[in-house]
Amino acid sequence: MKRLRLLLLALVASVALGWASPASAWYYRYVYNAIWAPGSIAGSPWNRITYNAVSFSNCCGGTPQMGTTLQRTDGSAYPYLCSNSGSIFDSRTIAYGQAICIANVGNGYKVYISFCDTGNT
Amino acid sequence: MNVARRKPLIAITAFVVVAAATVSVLAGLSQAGETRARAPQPYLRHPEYARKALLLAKAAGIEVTPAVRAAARVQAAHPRMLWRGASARFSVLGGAAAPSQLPPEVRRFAAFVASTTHLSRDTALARVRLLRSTVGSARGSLYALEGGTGAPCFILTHYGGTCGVAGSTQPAWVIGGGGQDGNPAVLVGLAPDDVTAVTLTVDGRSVAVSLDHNVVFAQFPTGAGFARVATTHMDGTTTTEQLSLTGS
Repeated sequence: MKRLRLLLLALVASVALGWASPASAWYYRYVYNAIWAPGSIAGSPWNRITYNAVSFSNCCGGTPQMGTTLQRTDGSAYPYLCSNSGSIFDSRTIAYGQAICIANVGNGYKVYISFCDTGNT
Repeated sequence: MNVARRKPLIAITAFVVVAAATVSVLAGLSQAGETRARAPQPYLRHPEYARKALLLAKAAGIEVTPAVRAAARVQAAHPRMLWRGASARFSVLGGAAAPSQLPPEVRRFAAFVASTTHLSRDTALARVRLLRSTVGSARGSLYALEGGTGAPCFILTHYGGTCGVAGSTQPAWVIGGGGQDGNPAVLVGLAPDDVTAVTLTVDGRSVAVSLDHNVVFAQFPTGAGFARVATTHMDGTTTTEQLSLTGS
């Protein structure tokens, strides 16, 4: 019975800490080791965000381009920041929003995504 | 030797030293002027190099894949000469000052560069250089560093940055962004010494681009749809990239 209480306490504590995490430093890898067709898109969980980063490379031809943005709760978003250099570090911030990374629709070929990361560290 | 005899001797010595210094400075200046005026000399012609490389590879029993053969054919058809002194170098990185303080977003960028180019975070931070301040309407600052693989990396504050490919003769750039605090969109990048001009067309309209000591910069209103970036190299060749700025 005592063990069960301790387990429940630990569970409540971990949930509380997880819930409280938006206030503390937060990091999230929302895409990892993926091959994307042109126009593919992914978004992170909602939070306060201070950066959005992507690392990608040419796996399948062409010169792939990627874009990053931050989306607001009303569905609007900042303009995309794009590059074909193999990485983007988007340093724009948002008080509460979602990080997005996208494979440019005009790529013509699939692209290898090493990761899409976001956080507020 | 008395004082009266010493005075002329000191005066003659001083004259000789000043004259020698003047001559050496003038010689240095004329040499520098000559270096600037002289046209670069080609030292490597790719068609010859490509053919020789293929012959050598075959002789050595190395498998020549169709892709290598095609690349050699392209080089032979459109010769691209490398010029003495021109390369994928970024001269600006060597002469820029180390900033005394780094904004938090630049520190985060340095951590990103460290993790993606296999550097320690401390080394990445130590390599950061301030290239420009008060850039564009957003009055951002442009910081750059050389990544662990020699990749040229930069960040424009309020926007973001990227790392180019080490040894590539193409500029590393990001385009678009803005929107936060009403900032306009930008094209910002680092171009190797080999690049002589960068032009930008946004939705069919030409946008003024500055290329100054490896730094490429242009700004344009947000909400644009398509952009075309053309890069001209020292040998006269131009490469063009087209992309959608809306992601769709």
